[in-house]
Amino acid sequence: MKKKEDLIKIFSMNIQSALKKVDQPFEYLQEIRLRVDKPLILAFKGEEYFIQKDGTMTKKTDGVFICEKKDLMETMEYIGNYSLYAYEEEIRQGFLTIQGGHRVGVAGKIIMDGNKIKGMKHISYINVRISHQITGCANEVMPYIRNGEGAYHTLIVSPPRCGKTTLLRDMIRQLSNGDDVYEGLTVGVVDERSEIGGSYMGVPQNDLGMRTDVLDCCPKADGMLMLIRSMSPRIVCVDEIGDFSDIHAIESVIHCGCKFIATVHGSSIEDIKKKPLLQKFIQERIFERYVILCNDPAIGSIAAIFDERGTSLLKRQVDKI
Amino acid sequence: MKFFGILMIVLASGGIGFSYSQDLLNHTKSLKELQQMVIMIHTEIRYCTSTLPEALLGISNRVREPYSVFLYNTAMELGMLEGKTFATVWKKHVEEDLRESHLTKKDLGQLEGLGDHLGFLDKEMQEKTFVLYLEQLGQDIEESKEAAKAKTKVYHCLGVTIGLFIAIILI
Repeated sequence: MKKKEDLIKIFSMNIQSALKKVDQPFEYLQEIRLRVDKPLILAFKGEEYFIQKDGTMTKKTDGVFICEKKDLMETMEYIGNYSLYAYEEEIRQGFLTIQGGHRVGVAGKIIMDGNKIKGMKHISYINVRISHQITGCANEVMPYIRNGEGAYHTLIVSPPRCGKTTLLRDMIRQLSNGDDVYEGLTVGVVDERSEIGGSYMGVPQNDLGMRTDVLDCCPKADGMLMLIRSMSPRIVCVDEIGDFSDIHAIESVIHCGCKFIATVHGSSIEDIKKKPLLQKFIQERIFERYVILCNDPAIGSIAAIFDERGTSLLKRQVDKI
Repeated sequence: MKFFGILMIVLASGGIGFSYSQDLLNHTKSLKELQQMVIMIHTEIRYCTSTLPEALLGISNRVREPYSVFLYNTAMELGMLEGKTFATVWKKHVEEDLRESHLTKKDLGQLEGLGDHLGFLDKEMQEKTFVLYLEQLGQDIEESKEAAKAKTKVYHCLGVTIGLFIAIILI
């Protein structure tokens, strides 16, 4: 599979050899973890496995592939595209996004400049979170968020690793392309961490639809204002709102007539009501749809969909506003 | 016939002298083009924070051969992620693609040395690496210009003189 080949290339030659022998379907791979002098770990469907020399995945540690320091150094060189200096800001935040939209978390020795984090050296821990575009995963949600004017202001609420970005990505694609019933809409996306589009040299590697404009690696608040001033979107989409600086920008988007779709970390409406940023929006009924995700029975499962008053439109788990 | 033969000898040796002097001028020109190329790479990295493969590929469209070929081939091979370090790929293409340029072995060696220090350092160190290299290159250009100025006329005169000398001996 080409996507697997492209992903494996970012690792050192030793690790590439080990990964090539793994015959499990790549579609279920969630994470690849490297730690100096520790076994290489793969996360498949929520379970962790080590790799034996013949490529067999195992839960035992005997005779498994061990990552060496030079493997991590070589891997970082490829991840940084031979240019780690270009990712100083990202490394300072602890992660960077690579071609394909995969997020690479790094940890090592922090270099301080007074009270500020200046950078990181001796990177000894790497966690590659695999991005999967699942075309059609938003099919169940779309009837609840589309309307004659375009779409409802929607908030996707999800715990970590439950597929909220994957869902948002497919929603953007479907809104942008339209269907037999609804026309396609111009969608503006602020992709602060390059996870939605997985842009490489300005071109999204994931399919975001034919009418989508993407501001890549742009702070959300600034990006939203730039989009509404220059790209005339009907819908603005962002991932993981949570900053107070986002509030003004979200209000500007809504007041200028655009629809707004975002994701937020949380497990339920009750959970997000506790977030100071969102209390105001919930109380004023700004968001017209709440999509709650969970990972039971599988990642990306829709637990419930509510309207702005808390009326359940789709329910698999009992929840209250 | 003799006169024609003498004329041919003088022209030939004069031509050789001219060719040597032209090499000096071409060397200076090549160094200036190299300097321009490296300044562009430096600027891309400094202001756009481009990755090295991006910078090299973008600049390959804005410089002339053989540097455009060198940059393009290096960027393409880096993009293939075949398990080689940046320094290895850079050095390989300095040797292969700039072999026919008018750069001397010393110039090529210094350019290879630049590749040894790119990519893995922080932005500040990248900056210093480029500044140091460009300073050295600037000095080399000045030396080359001085050498061309001093030796061009000498080669011209020497070429014609040797031609005449050979002609006289043959007569």
